[in-house]
Amino acid sequence: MREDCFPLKPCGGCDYAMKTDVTITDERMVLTCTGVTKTYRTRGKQISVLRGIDLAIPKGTLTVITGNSGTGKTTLLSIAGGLDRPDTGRIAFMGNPMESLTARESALLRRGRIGFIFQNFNLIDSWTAIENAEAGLIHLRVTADEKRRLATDLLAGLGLAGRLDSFPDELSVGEEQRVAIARTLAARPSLVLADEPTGSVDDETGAEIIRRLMAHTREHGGSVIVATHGPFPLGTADAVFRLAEGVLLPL
Amino acid sequence: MHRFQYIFREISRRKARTSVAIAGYALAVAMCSLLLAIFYASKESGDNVLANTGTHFIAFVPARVSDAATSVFHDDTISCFLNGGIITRTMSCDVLDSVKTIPSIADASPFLMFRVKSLVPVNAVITNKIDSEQDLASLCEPCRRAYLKSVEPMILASRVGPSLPATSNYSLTVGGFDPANKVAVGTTCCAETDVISGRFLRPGDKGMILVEEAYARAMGLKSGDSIKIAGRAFKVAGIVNPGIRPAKADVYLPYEEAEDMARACMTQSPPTRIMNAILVQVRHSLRQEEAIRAVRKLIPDIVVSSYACYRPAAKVIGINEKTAWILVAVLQLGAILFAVKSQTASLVERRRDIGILKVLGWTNGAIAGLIFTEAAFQAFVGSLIGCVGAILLLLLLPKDLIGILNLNSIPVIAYVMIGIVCCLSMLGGIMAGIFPVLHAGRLLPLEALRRL
Repeated sequence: MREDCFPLKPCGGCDYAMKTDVTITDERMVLTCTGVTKTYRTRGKQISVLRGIDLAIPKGTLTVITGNSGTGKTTLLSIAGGLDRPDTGRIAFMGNPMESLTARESALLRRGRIGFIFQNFNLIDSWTAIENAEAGLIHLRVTADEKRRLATDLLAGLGLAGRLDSFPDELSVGEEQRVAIARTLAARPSLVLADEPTGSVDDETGAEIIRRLMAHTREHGGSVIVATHGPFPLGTADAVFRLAEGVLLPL
Repeated sequence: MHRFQYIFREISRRKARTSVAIAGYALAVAMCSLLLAIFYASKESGDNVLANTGTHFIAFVPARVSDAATSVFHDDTISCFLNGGIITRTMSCDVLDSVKTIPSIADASPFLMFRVKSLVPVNAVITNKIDSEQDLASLCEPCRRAYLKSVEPMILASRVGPSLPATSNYSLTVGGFDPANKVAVGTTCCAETDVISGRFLRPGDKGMILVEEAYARAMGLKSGDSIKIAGRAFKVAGIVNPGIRPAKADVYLPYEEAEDMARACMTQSPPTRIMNAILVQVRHSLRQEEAIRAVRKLIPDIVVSSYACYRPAAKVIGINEKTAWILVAVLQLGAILFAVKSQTASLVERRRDIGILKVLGWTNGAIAGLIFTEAAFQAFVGSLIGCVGAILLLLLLPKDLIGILNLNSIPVIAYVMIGIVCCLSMLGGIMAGIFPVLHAGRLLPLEALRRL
């Protein structure tokens, strides 16, 4: 096996099982992780959260990573999105290694190419819904009016046409999550990393969120990785993994 | 959202903190401006005093004993160019142009001082009676004795004509200056304010002289009298008492006439206009040493004569100025530290926002821009308010300030100084943003989000 290849465990017949020849620089993959480890040191204790994660995410797929709380799902998403660095292992986005990126390059990569959806939404409290949605369009070289129009359309599509000027503390939890999704999807990123996107919302809103994420993969060719410990319609996913004791296992 | 929108949103969200930060800048700028206004008013008073004492000097080149300069006059037993009792060389007036270009020198003027003999004072009262040997002979014996006793024999001799013997060792010093020059001459030689009686010399005056008070008393001269110097007749335009000045003569006359007189007495007439001293006015007492050094560099063998009192005075002024600026720096530093604290606290509160922005792809540079702009905005508004406050205070309360601070002059609105303080304050505002920016730069987006 070549050094720059990474092994993928068979997942039972899906597309992932055949990708044993995928290299770290494979441009067919939106994201590749190989041998990723991460250990946290707290109060003299070492907690190995990730112990050699190998993962390849093809373009236009929805991947779900399940696992109990504290198993490292959020850590894996953060590393995958360039928010954190692995202790060892390699990460590549669209065939480009990420470990050597500077903070600025990493930020520029996130700008419009990688989107995040957080469980607690992470909206900016002092910005209105429309301003929060526009924040995801920082990379677009269009006029402010055009950005406003794009964000307005997206929020309207999520049923928030009447809440554009509301601040986060004036929105319901579901509305906040929809604003967060609008902010992320507005930029049509190549990769969406969603951490418990349905964890704080009711079933109906959860279904709407899933539908939106699916639409992103199907209509725009973007890839989505969802980390969840709760109920998720696994049938909608192209691949499902379980993260347990720092190891990613296909389901 | 545009950067400025974000800043204004944040500022409006945190009204109290922003107001306090702006007030800090305003207070610092106002206090600094007032401090400098008062200091410069005080300094101006000091400068005015110094302008008449130490911010000037005269420069001349002494002649060596063997120097030909000691015998340039026909009558070289008495007549010579001198200054302060020292025989000097003459210099070409062309050098003045170079002296005037020295940055620390405000103005320079030629001065020609030399010693001659054969003075013929003619007292107006006596002149009517005694202007010849016959007149003297016509006096009765007691009057004749009294007259001869009261007046120097040689004066009498000169006065009454060549039939009586002149005193060969009698002399006086003649100083020629440019009466049109009010800058360099007034402080080094004599000024209109030194006139005791009569009037000061005017540009274009011919045959007019000023007589130093002590000499006038010794010779019994007063304004309007006529005297002869080196065979030329002059009328006393005024009596002056210049006090202790570097260029001091018995009689003063316009430079051109003095030069003509000197040339007439010299064995050889120089090709260019001559002077034997340069009267120099320095721009500021603190630059006196610099000016002296420059003149010495320009003219080899030059000797400078000045009052040494400029040194302690300049030192005191220097200390005061340094103290004022140190106070300004301390005040500004206080404002900056306060702003740093305010900005850092604001940053801690916005830690999550910064984390979100980083996640969204905002670079450290873009976030630094936000923080700097916000810091600069607060500093700008605060400084502006401080400037306006200081100007209003200076406009409304100058008399009270004079009374309280025992100043000699009204504190002036030094717009340039206020501008400098304002700029310093704004610069400080930007500096106040450095620490929060570094802090924000180090902040990992994930950490910023996780810790909340």
